[in-house]
Amino acid sequence: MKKIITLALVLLMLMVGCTTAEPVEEKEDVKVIGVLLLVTHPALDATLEGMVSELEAMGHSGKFEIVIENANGDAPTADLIAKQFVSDKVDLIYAIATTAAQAAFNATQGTDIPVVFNAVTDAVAAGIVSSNDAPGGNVTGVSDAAPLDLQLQLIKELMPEAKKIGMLYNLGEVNGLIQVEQVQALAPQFGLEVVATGVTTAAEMASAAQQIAGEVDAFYNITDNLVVSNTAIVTDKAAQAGIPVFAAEDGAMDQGLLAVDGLSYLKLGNQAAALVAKILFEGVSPKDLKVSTATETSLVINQTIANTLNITISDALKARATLID
Amino acid sequence: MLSFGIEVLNQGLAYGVLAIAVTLTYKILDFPDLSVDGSFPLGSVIAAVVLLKWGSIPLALLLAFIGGLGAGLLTGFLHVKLKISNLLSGILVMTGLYSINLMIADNRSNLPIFNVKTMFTVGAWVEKLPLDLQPWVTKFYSTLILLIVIVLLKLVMDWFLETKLGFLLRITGDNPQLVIALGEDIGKTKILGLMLSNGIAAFSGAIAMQMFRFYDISLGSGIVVVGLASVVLGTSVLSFMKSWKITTLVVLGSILYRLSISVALALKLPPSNLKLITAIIFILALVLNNKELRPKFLKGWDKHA
Repeated sequence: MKKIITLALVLLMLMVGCTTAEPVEEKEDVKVIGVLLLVTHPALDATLEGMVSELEAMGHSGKFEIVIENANGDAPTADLIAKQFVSDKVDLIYAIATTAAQAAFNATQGTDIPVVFNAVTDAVAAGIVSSNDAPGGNVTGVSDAAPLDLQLQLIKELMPEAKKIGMLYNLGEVNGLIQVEQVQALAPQFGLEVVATGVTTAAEMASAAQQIAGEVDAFYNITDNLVVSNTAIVTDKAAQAGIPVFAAEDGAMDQGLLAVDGLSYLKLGNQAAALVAKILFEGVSPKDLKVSTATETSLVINQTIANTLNITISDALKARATLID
Repeated sequence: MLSFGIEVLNQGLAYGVLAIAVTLTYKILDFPDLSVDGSFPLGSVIAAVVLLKWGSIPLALLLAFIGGLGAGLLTGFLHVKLKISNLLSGILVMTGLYSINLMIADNRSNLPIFNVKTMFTVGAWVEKLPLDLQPWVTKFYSTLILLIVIVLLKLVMDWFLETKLGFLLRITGDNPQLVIALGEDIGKTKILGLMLSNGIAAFSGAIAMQMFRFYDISLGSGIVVVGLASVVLGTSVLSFMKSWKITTLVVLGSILYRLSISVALALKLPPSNLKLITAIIFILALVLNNKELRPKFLKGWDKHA
């Protein structure tokens, strides 16, 4: 008898498992957007916020519905969520961060569900589009590739004598290495040399930053999740060594960065909304929609830190920068 | 909804291979082996690189397995020959493998294999089948392949555990004194068990990677807990199935584990709590498994079966 009860319990569990997430109701003219978020993180959350607010600003409110699922940084969970979206037949998947985009790409193969990604640095290397100009499949989106030349130029403008810049990147994150390689390729044009160190944890970041601080003229923080989350570690070590920290994204400006001429993930979210709207409401195929990149950057400079480090801000820079204390 | 159930089943089966690997060390050898956290992604990255370079699926699986054997050999060597404690040996190998895995992938932490054939790619032969059969074959192909792999693996393991060598492995965990009394080398048996376990774990990594169709170094993080949770779930929740072999139980445990994760997702539990939920399921399963702590109303389980 007990055996039967237990078996029944197991079967019940199985059934509960199979009926997960009630199928999204098919309402007239309401498009369902499945949001696959790899992990919550201020920058990644901003890409979602920016997308939703822009869709509403474009006058589409009421015409779409958002279902948000967070994989908590776990690839198998991202895979499962993406496949769940496909089996629920959502109208579009908005995938945020590389692994989420790859899971969405894989899950939608053989279906006509479009995918719009965001916060993927190199979509071609991630294997989800054939090229940025002609994605060629059901996937397109917004790349968060930072305009690196602007950053290097800014470093040179503020510190004409700078020779070496220090960079830290997460060995476990594909976006990090890509950016380091790009900066290494660009740096000679600006008369700069890159000292890069790969790390795997916040603790390693501290010792690596300490080590590099002695031999470089400035730090440049890329849009690598580990580095961005631990900006304070870098600014702390840099302050001890009396050198500034530049960054590609203004989210951590309050943590002691000198200057940023960079991305706003909120704006990247707005750009994604344009793609989403074209696909859902104008019937354009993703294969014809170019992968977009940051169109505008915003310059922010911390005046107090500049003064402490005896860095003069030229009038030209002052004219276009937002100065903070 | 059916197709989502299939996906849960597929993941459960792919990670069921891992559960068999973990059973070998934790349950049979009584060795808490953490090196699996490194050997699982090792298998993934080897398979990804082989598929990208040569496109051969058998070679990818074989080399992944061999890579895992090597990892296990290293853990065993550290523990048996260099007398480093079992936990630490595993941690050292796991840590070292992180760098090795990066090196194998040419310092990339993520490799997509969307454009190559995998073991789950349905071949052109499907078009020769009757038309009404084709969508079904395509839909269940992955599950079928996984079932074949796991049943074969299970049968081989069951057979192996009955051989003299398998018997030695079992008593190395249960009664090490007996192994010495039999005049056998306990160190060698441990090394062998670790090699086999890590080999199978790497094999599992190779399979899971082909299912996701990309390798990411994060595939390995916390994988020991996933494997262990499957083992504990399988052997406790299903403990009433006394006549079933442990290999069957842990694979079912793996499916149960994936199910509980998807239930947690469906219930919209905050994902930040998922790890806590895993830990709670784990503790419950352990309590169920302990005869003295088992709640009264469940006391009859053992006797009945």
